[in-house]
Amino acid sequence: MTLFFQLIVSGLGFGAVYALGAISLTVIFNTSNVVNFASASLSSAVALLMWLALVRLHLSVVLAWLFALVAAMVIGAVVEAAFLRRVERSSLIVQIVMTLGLLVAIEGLDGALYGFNPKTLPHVIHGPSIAIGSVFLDRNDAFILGLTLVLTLVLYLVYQRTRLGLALRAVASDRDVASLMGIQTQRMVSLSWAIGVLLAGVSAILIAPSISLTPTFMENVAVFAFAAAVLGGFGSLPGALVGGLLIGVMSNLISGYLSNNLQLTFVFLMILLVLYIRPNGLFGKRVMSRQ
Amino acid sequence: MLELDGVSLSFGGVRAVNNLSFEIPDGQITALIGPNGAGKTSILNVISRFYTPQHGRVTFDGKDLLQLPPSEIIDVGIARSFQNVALFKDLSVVDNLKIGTDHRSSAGLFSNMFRLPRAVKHERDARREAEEVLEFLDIEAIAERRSGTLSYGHQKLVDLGRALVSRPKLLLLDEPAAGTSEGLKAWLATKIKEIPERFGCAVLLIDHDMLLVLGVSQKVVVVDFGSKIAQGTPDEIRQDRRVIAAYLGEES
Repeated sequence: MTLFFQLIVSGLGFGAVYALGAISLTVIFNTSNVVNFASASLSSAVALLMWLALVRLHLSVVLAWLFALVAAMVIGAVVEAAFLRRVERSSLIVQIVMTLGLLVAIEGLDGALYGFNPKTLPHVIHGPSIAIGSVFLDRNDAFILGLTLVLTLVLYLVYQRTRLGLALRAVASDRDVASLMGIQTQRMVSLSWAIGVLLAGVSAILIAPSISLTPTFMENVAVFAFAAAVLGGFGSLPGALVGGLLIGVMSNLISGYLSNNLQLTFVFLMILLVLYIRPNGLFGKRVMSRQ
Repeated sequence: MLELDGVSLSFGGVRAVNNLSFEIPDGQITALIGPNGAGKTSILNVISRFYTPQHGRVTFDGKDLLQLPPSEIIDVGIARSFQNVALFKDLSVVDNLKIGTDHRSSAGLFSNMFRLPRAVKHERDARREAEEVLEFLDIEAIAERRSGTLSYGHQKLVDLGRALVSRPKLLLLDEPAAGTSEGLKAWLATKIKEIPERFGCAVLLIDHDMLLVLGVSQKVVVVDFGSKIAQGTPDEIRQDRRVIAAYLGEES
């Protein structure tokens, strides 16, 4: 039984990272209606910029974080303005190809800039594990989990309690009507891309020390993040959080009891089962197609 | 206050509005009536800038409206309700109304994010104004309901409320009573009558329910096939032979 609980607890760190990725996808999807397949490359790019600041430019940890976070928001806004805005009225397939194209292009660009050999980014927090009864929670995992919960809470409060959040929710609900109400919808879409890439970037910086940092290292993580967003009901913030944590825990249980290689298979089998029972995901209120 | 001068609008070869001129006076209810397909909603869409007419001028308080994009119409003081209800279905009733007050705020988005005093004040004002309008329309009880779950009649009222809460100088109502029950229609007529005085605005009302229109308006403009066929007080319109022929005759 101890093994069971230990596997649950040590799945939470990765789960929080999947949750951040899923929340990033949700924030972007809600306002712009775009499923951001470029997420993996954008978040890798942010982690590589962090590495550049920390390892190459020898900036202090605080400055390096600041640099990476500001860069993430700029990247998000620029990618939206330069590429997605051109296709915002195009068909779904055009938008999918656009974000897939960006995925490959940005990974290639990063490869050219930094090379494809793995780099290491230091853990944010060091120290002994935290004992909870008979199981142990890695200190870095605890930090990742805590930060994710705080970020989700802040985001949730901004969405629910502020005028900016109301404007974002209005754009998510109906962009044309929002524009009629005098809301600057374009600015809301830019902002959601900035926030989205920021969150994805944070997830990449947090997970990079546990796996090797390359221009493509977030691809596997992004697959789980997509799964988490769908499991939670694409479009729901609490759903993305719960979906991410569930998938982190489930995949850890599978690799603990069965095999590392079966992780992906079993996680997706479970998702298929959940979606068979609840086609709109755990927290989904509506079907995904809007127009 | 609002003036249309020789406005013509065509879609391909179809002429929806034909050399139309009329004026909406301050503080009054002006009705635009005509049979289905007469071009009423097209005229409303010209005023709210969804459509750009090929000919003619539209001025509001001396400003050329045709220079403005649709998103700035609310800033000059024109708000509208929609024939087919265009609410944010995922948001609560009170949130839908609060968005109606949004364009008037001077507090920037980011000061709002940190909930600075001005933004807090705005939030409180928005809430209070939304509640006033909810009370006027007698729908306080559904303030927290998600608007997508409401009955059609309630949705029409929320749509009207959202336009009212923006404190417009001119309120455009596109068939506010269409598809609602007879009881609600009669009640709505008394409410619409109160709007100019209570909210200090002019109203342009579109409907084909003659009883509603002639009962509440001070001025009536009758259109058919996109052209104006008559204009006058409700009493004059009741007597007008062309109106009776083109419209009343065919309705009864």
